[in-house]
Amino acid sequence: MLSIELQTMGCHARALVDADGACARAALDRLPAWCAKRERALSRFDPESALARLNARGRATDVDEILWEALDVALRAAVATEGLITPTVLAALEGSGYDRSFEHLPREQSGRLAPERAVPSFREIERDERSRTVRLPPSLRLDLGGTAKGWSADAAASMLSRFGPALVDLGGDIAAHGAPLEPWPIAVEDPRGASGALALVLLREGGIATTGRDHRRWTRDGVEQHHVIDPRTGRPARTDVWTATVIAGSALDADIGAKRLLLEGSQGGLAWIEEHRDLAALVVRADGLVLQSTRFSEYLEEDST
Amino acid sequence: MAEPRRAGVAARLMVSIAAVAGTLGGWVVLAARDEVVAIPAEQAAPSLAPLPTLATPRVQTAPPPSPRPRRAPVATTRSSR
Repeated sequence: MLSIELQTMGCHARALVDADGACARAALDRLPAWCAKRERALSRFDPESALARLNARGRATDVDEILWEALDVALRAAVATEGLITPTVLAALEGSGYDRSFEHLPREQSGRLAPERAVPSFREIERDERSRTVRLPPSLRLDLGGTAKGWSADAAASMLSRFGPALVDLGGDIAAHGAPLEPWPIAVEDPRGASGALALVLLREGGIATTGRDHRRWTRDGVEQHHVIDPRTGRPARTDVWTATVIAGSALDADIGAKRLLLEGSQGGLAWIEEHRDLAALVVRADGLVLQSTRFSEYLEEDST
Repeated sequence: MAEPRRAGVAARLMVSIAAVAGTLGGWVVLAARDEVVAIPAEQAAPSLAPLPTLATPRVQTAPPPSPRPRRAPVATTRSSR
């Protein structure tokens, strides 16, 4: 088993390949550069990134290939969720106080909150595929954080699986490719501060992701804030969900599912999960109660709590 | 006044019959007991099969089987770190 650990895209990452060859080792060693290239294209904190330049100018032609693909992924997610997971939340995110990388973000802020207001529709974004041009209306700026990590984890795992079964963990968004003989054991962290894991999941292929308001949070004007914006209000989601973990066919779909659960609340979110045979979910509510969808138990290690 | 006297005679007669019957019964019982005691032990064949013994728990000589060791996780999913 070969592995590598790195810091990228504002999080800790880890990749494993069930192989021993020099080619697999070389592929793993190329991963930091591969991730850095994505970060340079997609970071909203680096003013020189392709995304930051597009946001600043409102228009870009011959857009960076990674940004073009990442935007396409984000817009497909927006269509699939009827705008619930949308890349058009940057102004709202900054308005809540998340205007720099999280490690530099003051946890107690004094600025005033903007009034509640729906974020711009993703349908206002114009794209021309032939010239790879993107145009944004004046009030619309993009953040691709809702989908970029899951998508990147899938792409990295797919790339590494040429050498053997592979698993890529980008800050908790995890992709597994290449059908290992034994499934990958993956812990679900207990956000209530307990020492042990909440559950041990066995994943052979696909993705698992968790989103929540337990870590990336701060206060502004005395009001608690977090990083998942509800596009209907332009404010951080206020539901009974503390964290949501979703298992899906890919890390991208798992990430989208987990965010949707957080935005819709445990009742509506779990009902939506039950309607999709390829999804399973584990929810920790703000009152500490743990709920799981019907199919989640199919993935649990025996004796897992 | 003749009826009560007749009833008293009948009652005394019943008590006498019961006493005789009881005495005879006692002799029968004693006679029967004497008969059982009289059978020589070597001739006495058990008329009943031995009572089945209740299943007794076996003494555990081996340690109880340990639960299957849990696999160590290779990754942890959590909200973005």
